[in-house]
Amino acid sequence: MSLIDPECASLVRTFQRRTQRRPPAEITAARDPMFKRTGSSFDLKNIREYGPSDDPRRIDWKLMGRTDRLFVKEYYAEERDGVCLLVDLSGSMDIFGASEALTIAASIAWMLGALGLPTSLWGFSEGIERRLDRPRGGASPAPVLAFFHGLEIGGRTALGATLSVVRKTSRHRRIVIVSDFLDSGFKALACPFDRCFFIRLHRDFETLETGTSEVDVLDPETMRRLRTPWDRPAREAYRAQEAALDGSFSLKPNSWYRKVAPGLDRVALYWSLLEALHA
Amino acid sequence: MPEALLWLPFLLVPVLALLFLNLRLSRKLRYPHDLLRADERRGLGSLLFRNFRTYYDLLLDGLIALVLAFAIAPPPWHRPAAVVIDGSRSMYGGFADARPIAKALKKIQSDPGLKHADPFLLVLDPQARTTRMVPIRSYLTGSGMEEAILHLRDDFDFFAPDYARLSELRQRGYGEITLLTDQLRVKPVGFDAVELGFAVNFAAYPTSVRFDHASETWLVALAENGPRVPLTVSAWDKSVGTFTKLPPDRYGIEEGMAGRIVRLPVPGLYLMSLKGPFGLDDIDLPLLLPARSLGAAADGAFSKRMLSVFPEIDRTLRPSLALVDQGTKAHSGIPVITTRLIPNDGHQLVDPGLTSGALLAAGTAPGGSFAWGPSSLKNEDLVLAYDAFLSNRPPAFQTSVPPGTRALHPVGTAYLAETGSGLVPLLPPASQFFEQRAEQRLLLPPPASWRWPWALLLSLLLALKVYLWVRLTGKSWITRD
Repeated sequence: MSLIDPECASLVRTFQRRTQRRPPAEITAARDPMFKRTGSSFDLKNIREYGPSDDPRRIDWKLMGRTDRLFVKEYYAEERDGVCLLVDLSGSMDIFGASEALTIAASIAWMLGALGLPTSLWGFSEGIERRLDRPRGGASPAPVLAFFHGLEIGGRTALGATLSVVRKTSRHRRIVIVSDFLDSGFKALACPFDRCFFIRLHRDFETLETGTSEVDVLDPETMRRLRTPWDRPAREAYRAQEAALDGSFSLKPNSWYRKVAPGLDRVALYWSLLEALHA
Repeated sequence: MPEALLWLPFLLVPVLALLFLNLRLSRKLRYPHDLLRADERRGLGSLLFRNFRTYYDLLLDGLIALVLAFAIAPPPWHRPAAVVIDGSRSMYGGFADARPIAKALKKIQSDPGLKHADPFLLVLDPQARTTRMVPIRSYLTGSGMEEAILHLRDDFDFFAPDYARLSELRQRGYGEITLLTDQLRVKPVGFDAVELGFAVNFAAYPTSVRFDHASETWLVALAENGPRVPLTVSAWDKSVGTFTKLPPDRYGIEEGMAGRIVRLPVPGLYLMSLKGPFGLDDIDLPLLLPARSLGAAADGAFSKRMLSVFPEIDRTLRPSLALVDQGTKAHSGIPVITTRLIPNDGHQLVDPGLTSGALLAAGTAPGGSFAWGPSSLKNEDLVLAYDAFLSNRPPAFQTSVPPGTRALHPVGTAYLAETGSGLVPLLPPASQFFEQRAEQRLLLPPPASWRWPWALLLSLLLALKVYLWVRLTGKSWITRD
């Protein structure tokens, strides 16, 4: 469990208790495009007559209008719809901190499995590095730890290309991406998944430089050097780029975005992610 | 080579160490380039600016080191020159152009080295009871020499200035200082002095004021130079607070070795006046003739023998001092000198100031004044230790303003100093009347170094450093870390 945050176990237990008090998953799942009534019929689990223990909100009123009897529809729960987890393993993740980045990714992967979600784990840099499918989820950390064991950070980020591959390969409609998103080929708006959860691991450049007037920057992926003045215009240009990247995530409908700085409270991040996935 | 450049290598060591350690401002970082832009500035100017931007801190540190070096060892500045006319009484000695004051003014106006120097007069200020340095540029412009001399004479009192006040000019930033005087009364060190020639040809000065036991009168012996002019004697009238001329039968005048001797029957405060011949300055000599003798008492064998050594002690007068052996009866109300005889020599010396410089061994005398051992009793200078007390009578006159003087009252060409113990006659020193060789040295400190320009420059450089840091990094100066 060393790669998985120790708080994750209690987080999962708390979240399971919390969901029991909330509206039935079927109702929530009905908002998902794949569970709409105009959708494919294989997702419909059952239609049965209304019983005294059933929630009146689940009554199918149209069917009642046609038959004059009360029926309720039962759908497969949303949890049955899996999640892809894409973990960036490119060299730029080293700037954030490789071990912290992998800990975040591993913790999320384990929590999704522990909550019973079918999970598909992908590690990528220039291409797909590793893949782990867990169709039934599972509380055992061993597969997750095996997935992350021996992973090496390096290579260039090819998020845009990887997303296309994952979308073609996986049947899941939701994706959680753990990356720094520093890839010119990636556009959040063009993400080919119905629901996207972006976790951007980002170390601000301004926290690295301390009072310098010129910076000599080595790109960890391309190994190219860039010598540039670090004055007011350069600083403002950097901030503008940063703001533009942040803003691009909000353009994507049905998306959830968090920017994570090194050392941030990860429990809050996990909780809000789980809430977003459950919503 | 300026001395500052000798300091510079030492001050540059930390700057060079920074360079050596490559602690320059260009930081090497690892970061993706996606959010950064390459510098679009090109050209030679950009290259120069880029290099300056990188090394400006070191460049400014080097400049700061240079300024510090000059602050530590400032180079000689061009400092204004000052010429000082001696405000001594003797500067008015002689006639016409032979007068030193006339020579001094002429030299200031004709000497190219002094023409542009700021002229000052070093003169005693009776109101302030001290010597002052008075600028006299206004006296020298727009008037002839004789007119200037007359105005100076009217406005200032040429008496006997304190040459130590010359150092005030150094504190005021003057570099070259030239003293114009008739004769050097101090050996100049650190400044120039020009001797214009001693020209006093009419002088009279008291050389001795004492009580003559044989004639039972007080004698004032004068040293005189020049023609013998009538001498009048006045006595201080306490009731009206002025001198009253005495009739000739109240005093006697006789010829002495170097001048006349005035014989007076009673002690007191007198004024002897000699009218200057041919328009020369009068000479007024206020003198205090002290009481005839001191009354003293003695108790104890040793003290009685010691007191008998001093024949001028009048035993008939009320004692104002008592010599006693330790263990004998005490006298109340008067100062007592207690003597203790000890079997072994002491390990201390009596203050040489009390013994006219003689070395006199003494022991510790708890509760007493002196403790003498065998060798002290054999020392023939032993009497000097007592003489310092028994001959402690007020002097007939002073030549410098006594400490604690409340006011100076002019008496002809002299003054009476009003002190706590009464009126004290104040005469110019004998060197104002007779030519004397300078024996004391007067050392003026070197010109004060002006460090404020360097401090200002240093502040500007540091401000520039902060400004450039803010300008080049785009950060607020208060967030500098």
